Amino acid sequence: MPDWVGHVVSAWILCRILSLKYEEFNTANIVLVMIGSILPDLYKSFIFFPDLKNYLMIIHLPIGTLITAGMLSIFFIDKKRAFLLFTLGILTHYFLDMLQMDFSGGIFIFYPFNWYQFTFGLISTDNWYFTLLILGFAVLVYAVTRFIKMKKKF
Amino acid sequence: MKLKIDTIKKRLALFVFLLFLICSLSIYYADNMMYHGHYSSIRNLTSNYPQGQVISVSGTVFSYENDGFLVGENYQGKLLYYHVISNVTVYPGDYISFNGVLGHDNSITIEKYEVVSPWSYEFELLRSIVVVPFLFILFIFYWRFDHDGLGFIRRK
Repeated sequence: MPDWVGHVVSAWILCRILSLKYEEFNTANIVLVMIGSILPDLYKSFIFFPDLKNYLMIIHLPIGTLITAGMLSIFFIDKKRAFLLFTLGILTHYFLDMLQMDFSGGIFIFYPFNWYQFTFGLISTDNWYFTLLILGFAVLVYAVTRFIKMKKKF
Repeated sequence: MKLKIDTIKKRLALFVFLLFLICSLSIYYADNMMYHGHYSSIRNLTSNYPQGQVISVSGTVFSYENDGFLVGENYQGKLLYYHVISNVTVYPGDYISFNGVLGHDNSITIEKYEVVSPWSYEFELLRSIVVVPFLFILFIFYWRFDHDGLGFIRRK
């Protein structure tokens, strides 16, 4: 996986760009997308329960993460919106994860319907240059979107 | 038909249903993943031995050998060792993931690989952990728990 900084900042970049057109992407809602972007990595809790690793892996499959997001959304007043925002974050997570090398063949993206595995296999798992690149891009997006929003105001 | 989940009973029922669903999928996945992977993994080498096939292995480098190094992975409380034939430069403690051709006596000839040093792994963990308190503070800042509606709601 790219590190969580990369995941969270990527989710923020996407939301920041979308906020130019859609009012739903205010800061409060962006926080939910950012949480969604690291939701699949909840499976990393296997560090504390090594024997359960294969069972916890379901959380790092799209179907498992979506169910987890559904379970979390129950604790929100506007459940549907919370679920959709988590889902957007989850999508950014899997997109980034599919960019990285995976020697097992990739993510079982269509489980339980199909055992097809997929990965682009482009970047190393511990590549922190990629995180730096994302951070640099985030600064650029912040500057440009801020400029556009200020221009809209006046 | 619109499904309304407005009472505590309905929410609890939905939560239990989703929990049951994810547990069922989890058990099915854990029991079957090893038979469906693109490559054989170290785990099903214990049940069959696909000699001559490309397999996928992830583990820690333990020591050097004459023509390669020894990789071990903890599997269900047991350490499984593999003799890796390669001229890749690695150090004991490095974490290596690779695809290689399985030979006799748990020897593997590497085809492609990725090595992660312990400091690199720890640095990645550190970078990731920093995000947790940051997100927690942001969440508390923008969301509050509404005791009447029993759910999180945006702060005004």
